[in-house]
Amino acid sequence: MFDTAWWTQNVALIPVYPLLAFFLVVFMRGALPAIFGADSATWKSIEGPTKTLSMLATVTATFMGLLHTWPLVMQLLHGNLLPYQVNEPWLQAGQFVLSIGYLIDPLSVMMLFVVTFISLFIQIYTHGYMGHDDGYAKFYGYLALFNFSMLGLVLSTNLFQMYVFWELVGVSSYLLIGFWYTKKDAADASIKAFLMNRVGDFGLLLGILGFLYVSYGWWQDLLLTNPDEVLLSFTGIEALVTGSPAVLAAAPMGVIAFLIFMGPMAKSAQVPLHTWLPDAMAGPTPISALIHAATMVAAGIYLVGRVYPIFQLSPEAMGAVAIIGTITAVIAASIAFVQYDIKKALAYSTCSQLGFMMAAMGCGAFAAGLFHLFTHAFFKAMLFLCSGSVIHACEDEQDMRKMGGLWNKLPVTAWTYLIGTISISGMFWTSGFWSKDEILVGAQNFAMPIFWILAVTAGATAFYMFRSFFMTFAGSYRGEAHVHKEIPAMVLPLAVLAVPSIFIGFLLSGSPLLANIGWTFPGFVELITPGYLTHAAHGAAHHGPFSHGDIANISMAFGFGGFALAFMFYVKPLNTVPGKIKTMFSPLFTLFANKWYFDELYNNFLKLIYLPFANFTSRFDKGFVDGIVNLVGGGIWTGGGAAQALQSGRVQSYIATIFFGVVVLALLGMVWWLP
Amino acid sequence: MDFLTAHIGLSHYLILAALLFTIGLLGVITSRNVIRVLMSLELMLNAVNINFVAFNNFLAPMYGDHFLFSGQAFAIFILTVSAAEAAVGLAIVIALYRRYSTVDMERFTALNG
Amino acid sequence: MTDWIQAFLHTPFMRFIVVENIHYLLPELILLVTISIGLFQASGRSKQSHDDAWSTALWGSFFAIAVAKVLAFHLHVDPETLTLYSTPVNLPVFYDVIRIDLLYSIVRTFVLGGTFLVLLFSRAYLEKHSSTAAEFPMLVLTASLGASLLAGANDLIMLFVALETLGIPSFILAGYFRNDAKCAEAGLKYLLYGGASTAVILFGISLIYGLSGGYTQFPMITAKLQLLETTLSGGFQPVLMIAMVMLLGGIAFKLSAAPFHQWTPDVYEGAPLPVTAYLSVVSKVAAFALLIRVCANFLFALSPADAGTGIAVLSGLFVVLSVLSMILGNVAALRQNNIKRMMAYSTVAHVGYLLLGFVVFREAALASVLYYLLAYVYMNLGAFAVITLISLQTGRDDIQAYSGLIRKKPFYTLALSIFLLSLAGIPITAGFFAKFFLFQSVIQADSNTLWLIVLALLNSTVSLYYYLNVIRVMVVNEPSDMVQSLTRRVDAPQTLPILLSVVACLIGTLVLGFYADPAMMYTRGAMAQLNQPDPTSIQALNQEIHMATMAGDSADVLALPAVVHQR
Repeated sequence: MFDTAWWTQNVALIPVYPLLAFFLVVFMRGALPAIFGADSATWKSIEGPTKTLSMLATVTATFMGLLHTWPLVMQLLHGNLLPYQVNEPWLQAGQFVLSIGYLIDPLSVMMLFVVTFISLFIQIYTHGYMGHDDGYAKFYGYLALFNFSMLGLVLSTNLFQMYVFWELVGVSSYLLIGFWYTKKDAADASIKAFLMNRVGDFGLLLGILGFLYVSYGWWQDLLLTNPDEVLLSFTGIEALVTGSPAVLAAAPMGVIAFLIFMGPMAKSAQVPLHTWLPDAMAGPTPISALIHAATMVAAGIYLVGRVYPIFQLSPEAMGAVAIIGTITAVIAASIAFVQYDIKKALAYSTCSQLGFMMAAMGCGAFAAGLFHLFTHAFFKAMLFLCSGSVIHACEDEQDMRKMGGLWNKLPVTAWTYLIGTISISGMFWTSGFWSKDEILVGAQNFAMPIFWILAVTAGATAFYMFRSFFMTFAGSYRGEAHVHKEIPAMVLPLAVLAVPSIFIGFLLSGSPLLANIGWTFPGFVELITPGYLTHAAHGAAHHGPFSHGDIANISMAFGFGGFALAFMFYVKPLNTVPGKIKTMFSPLFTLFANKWYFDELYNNFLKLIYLPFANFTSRFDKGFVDGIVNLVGGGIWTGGGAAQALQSGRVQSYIATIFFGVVVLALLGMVWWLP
Repeated sequence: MDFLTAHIGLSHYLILAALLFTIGLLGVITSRNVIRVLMSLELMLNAVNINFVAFNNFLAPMYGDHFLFSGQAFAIFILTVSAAEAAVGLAIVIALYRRYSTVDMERFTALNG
Repeated sequence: MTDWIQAFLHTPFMRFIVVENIHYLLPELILLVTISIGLFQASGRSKQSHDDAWSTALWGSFFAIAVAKVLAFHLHVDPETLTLYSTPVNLPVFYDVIRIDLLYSIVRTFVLGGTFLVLLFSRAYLEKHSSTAAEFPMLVLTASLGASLLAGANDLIMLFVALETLGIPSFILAGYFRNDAKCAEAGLKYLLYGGASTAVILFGISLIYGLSGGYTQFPMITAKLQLLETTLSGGFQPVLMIAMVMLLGGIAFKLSAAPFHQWTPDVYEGAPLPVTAYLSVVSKVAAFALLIRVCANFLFALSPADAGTGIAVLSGLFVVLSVLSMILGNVAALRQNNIKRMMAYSTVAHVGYLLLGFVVFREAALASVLYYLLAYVYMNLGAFAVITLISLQTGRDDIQAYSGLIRKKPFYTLALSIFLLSLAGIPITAGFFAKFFLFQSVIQADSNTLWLIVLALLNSTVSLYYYLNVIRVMVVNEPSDMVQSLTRRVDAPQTLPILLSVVACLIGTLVLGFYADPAMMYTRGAMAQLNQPDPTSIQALNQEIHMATMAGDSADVLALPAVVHQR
């Protein structure tokens, strides 16, 4: 039964497991107290077990998802993964059919592995982190819902289905950011995230509709000749762009691609729609790690990867993606220099790394961007979990100025944080090193300025990451709170995630050295690059000035530079040098500390332009439009009175109406019948 | 006045039934007494019965070696059902009479609008 | 063992059943047996015997649904190719008095399902009004028996008998609380109005009977009347027109289509709440099935077609009914304070939308009508289930009684909001797809109906006002003292059935709102079958078979239905 094909054909089960867990949690925590009564003795006696069951159900569901993914990963590595997709009609209106289904190809298998693997350990971690929270079971319910949405997004076969799940992950994210909704900043942050994402989603929807509009005829032909295909499918998009690009020749593909890109721009926190991500750190830390570092924010990169052919049609769109990605990387890194909140620092670092990935996609380094997504998911999730462990130990203190000297008190956390820091800085052949290298290779093939900016930013990454490491773990403890010990349930995931953070990049790097340790599988780039790109990628390789080895050395040098600066500033004469620098570059510092004034920009836009305009339209609306509406409404209201007057209450007059009704209808019928 | 003197045929029955139906309808619409309304209703149904029986008598098709008597059967069904309807109607009227001590249709207009 | 079964199947009784396709009527037979047993049990004086009768009724109706479902699957799976919908059964029963086809099977399931849900939430309400007697479920089941048969009626006598089997128990139910003045008045009004419209429909039927030369079966009448049209010069019979309009008027009464709707608000307001729910859903569904059949056989089969669109000119009658119903229903609902009365007018409005499907009378449009009915069963029954619960706890039916309900009953507030939004046609609910499919198919069939669709959309906008008003009162208003005194805790044993029916309707409403396609396939299949030329040959063949069986022919009669099937 469980032969090779079984795992592929039943891959739809993977999102179903967490969905069932979600329903179970809802049933146990929502329906049961309603049935038994929330104060009843029965409920009181089973309340505790239902909590544990909620946790177990969610964790088991994720674990089963991981188990189910594993054979697929093995097939991918052994090169015998067959691309497979199944579609079911979902909404039919005449010829227009929208479908849902599931798609298996290297890209989706890679994402499935990332999502299930990281989710599993974050869910175990949650048991420790949220153990004393009132919303423990609810939190697991939300986690299961998020997992379902995210896995559904990953398995989507077409843009339409992806849009649906895209919105669903947005909702889960909203719910989870505002999990502690009684705290004002959490509630505000959830609304901000939702609104920012709406802006992006609106662009995405317009882009999808625009794309459908310019290619609708082609799709109709395709569906006629190939009954297995569905509207807007990714395989269809690939066939369209690579097979018959003439269809789209006259269309403004740059505009369409950019509109589609607006979705990823908001979801993956690219400038200028990035400001929601740091605020989202008001949510519980496991959420920051899972959704706002490892998986959901990467969905933007994933979508760009899915519809990559559309982007390739337009050099302008590719350039815009590359430039926006680069700007994001720089701006977010610069803000991370001056953050004192440990989670905010990590959030800006995420933002910056997402910028790296997006820049890679824009540079045409498709596989590099996704490789960085892959490795980043492991070490960034781990870093966030470390920060959670620190925060938990310091009694909810998040300010790094009140930490320090935690090296001995939290040994596992400190070690894993160091590993994560090294990895994200791209040093010493850790995972981050390999993927960042690939990005830099792609960047130099695209444009040298972008290469240099990204290389410097990689150095900056090392600086701000070591800065946070030193501020937290080195020196002596500066806080007042009593430092607790680490909790096993929180330490275990850290230790497990440290392994891929170190090794997975190397194992999938495709380096010839791997043969020495008996690792014969192909590298990530080779695995993930789709057929339509392979040729182009080969043609474009190595036309920059630097060889692969040079680039490795350059990035390593920048990394060491960043590390050295951080060591100078934050370990030796703590608090004196940064003060001097601060005064030297005070305008720049103010700019960074104020996050480049993006929030102020939005506020001023709203205050100075949007609100006056809204006021004007509101007055117009009240004076003119409402007048008309009220007139119509009044008319209908009066009509209601007349209709009531017809209903006299006398059944005999009703019966008389039957008679007249029949007579009038018969007369009308005769008139129509006789020509 | 040709039809009065002619041999009595199908149309005579039909005209009678139509007149009876109309009388019944007028009775239903105009009576103030609930019992009279119910009786007028029966009149309408009986008009239909006359139609059915007359049609069956004049037009019954052959089926094999015998006539089809579905019209007669229909009339019997109608009689049965109208009896049931009258029984229910009278029961409701009694309930209302107990409450209002009257059977005046004008009193039963509490539900309106 | 197999010998024994063979012997049983070859007994004369079983031969008769199988040859006459009576086993397809098993759900109705189950209802009949349930009613008999239940009435017997309910004749006891103790409370226990009435409790027993109640459980009999619930189990009986549940069992009937289960059997109907099984038969429904049997009806449309082709055993050879295992494909659905390919050769749906179209079988006559009792000399073609009832026609077993997909339309019947679908509507029967709706009717039985609706009945079960109504029974689920009616008991607590009746007990609250100190009426524990088990006549109530028996009357409901009797009415459902009529409703179910009405959906399959293929003969004038059957039509009449089924209509009255549905009607007379409904009259009693409408006036069930006979000591309550309003309730008794509702019963009287329903009886008089229903009686008058029965007389009208019968008069029409008698004329059709006469014009066809003494036949009562639909296919036969259609054939005869078509013959009559071709032999007459000009092909027009004013009497036929009157007869058909009288028939239409009688069905429009059951549907509460304006101007035959006037009983609806009064009866809905006065009748006990579960009865209102029953009338607004179950009898509507059955009446629509009848209307489809009658239209296919008379109104549209006989009416000349418009040269341009090919649509029967008599569809104009439905334009009149539909427009009047939409406008009158929505406009009158605006100013209602009583939620039952509001729902009555809302029903009238929905019937107006549904009749749009008859304006074009095309396969896709009628399939959408059936789909709309399915959605309507869920959303309307769900709304009534919640209203029943609220009425149980507050004892009031006016909308003001719902003030601030969200503070005390968040789940029910949410559920009622979803049902009302679905009725208004807001997306991700069943009601949205129902309207979407219906309007889309109507306009696809005939683009001249654009103005009708625009009118329907405007009407939906008006309807939004009164549906949202209820939600506003529940969510925004400060709780009244009465709502304040409600407990949050659910009174489990009493209201659990209500909760069950609410949850069932909620699932139906939302699932249909997410994933409409399978249900739509099903209804399309039903309409495709109805559109095929009537297999009169089956009828003739069946009579031959019958004669052969009566003559004691020793042929293997069990094989004969298969022969019919293949034809």
